[in-house]
Amino acid sequence: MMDFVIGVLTACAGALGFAFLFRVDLKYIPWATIGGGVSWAVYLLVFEFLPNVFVSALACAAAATVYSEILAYICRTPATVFLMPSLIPMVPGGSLYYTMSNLIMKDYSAAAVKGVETAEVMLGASGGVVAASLVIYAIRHIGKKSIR
Amino acid sequence: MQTTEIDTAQVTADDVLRTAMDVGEGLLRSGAEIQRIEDTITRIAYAYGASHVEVFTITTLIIASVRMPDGGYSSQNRRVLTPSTNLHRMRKYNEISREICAGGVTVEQAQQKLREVKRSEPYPLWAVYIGAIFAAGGFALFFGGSMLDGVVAAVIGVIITMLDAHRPSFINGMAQALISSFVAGVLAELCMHFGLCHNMDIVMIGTIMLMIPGLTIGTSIRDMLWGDIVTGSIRLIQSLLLACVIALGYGGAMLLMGGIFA
Repeated sequence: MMDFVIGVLTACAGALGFAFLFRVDLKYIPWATIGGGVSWAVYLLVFEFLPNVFVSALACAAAATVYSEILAYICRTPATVFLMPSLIPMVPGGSLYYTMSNLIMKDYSAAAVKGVETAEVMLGASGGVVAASLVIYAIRHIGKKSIR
Repeated sequence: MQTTEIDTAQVTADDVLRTAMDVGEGLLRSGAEIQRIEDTITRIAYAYGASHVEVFTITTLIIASVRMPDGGYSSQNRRVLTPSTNLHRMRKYNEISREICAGGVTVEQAQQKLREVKRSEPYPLWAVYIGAIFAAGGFALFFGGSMLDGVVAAVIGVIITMLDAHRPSFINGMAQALISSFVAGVLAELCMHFGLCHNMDIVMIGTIMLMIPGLTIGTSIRDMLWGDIVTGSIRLIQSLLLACVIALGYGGAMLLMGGIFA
């Protein structure tokens, strides 16, 4: 439980930092910060019941997309403004680092394990964003004429 | 002052496309998705009364052409060399596009708004450095580091963000990433050697998060899944190369310092 709280709080801190680095407007920064915590909370909850990084990343990214699209609809801004900081905890900095350090120490099997984990998280997160955006796109465009 | 009704007979194909391209170029510069850029240019051109619009966009180039009902025709392209993420400008450009599409904004008014947005920043640079403190420090704690690791990662994070903000124009993005990651690696090794931090790997991971193109890899896969294969593969190769360069920088620092302290 303590780990869960610390994880979510630090994910919020990271998302807050990246919101500034990505130049999110001040009035949207609180929402971007909460987004990082929301997505990491979803990741941890899904991982608790189904210990699989790919599925957890997928669910987490889908949740972040839905969260961002709802806020984008309310604030009338591009969803990217909220999506990018929210997805930051999904960036596999840790596994990429261990892939590299294992390669330097010539432990190739450990490097391969970490490398595959990195790819799994990336694919899962992108798949989650696309799947959720497709559904939202379909909902928003029911009965609307396409411009192309 | 112009009236709110736009007289479409007065605007030329060149005016229409120039304005639409300015918005598109601004979006590409601030890191928007390809779909959004093509969509925006198309919508703006139609809003100004074009009868036919074609757009093709990849990561560094926009090509578009417009035909007006009176037969006027224009074809232009824009090259974008330094895309970066600026969600403030992306939002502003999106706002301008919405206003144009809602009607009532003349080409001159739109150009005026575009000039205002082009170099606008939401807050001064020191706020970005505070962001770097939270990002690097936060992720050092996120990956299980101690409070001290977080502080060290935050300090190194600010240093590499400063290096990046004051990059001279003759150093390109890849070289900058190599320098920053090498500097960050050497600093982390020094802190570890002199007992300033508990876990060197955690400090390095915290600072890696600032540079690693994790979101770009995600975006590139997204582009490809949406059907933008060209853009997706360019971005994927770019970010994989960048990841290798960053690994090279940190790896080089680890090997060098390992050799010195061993």
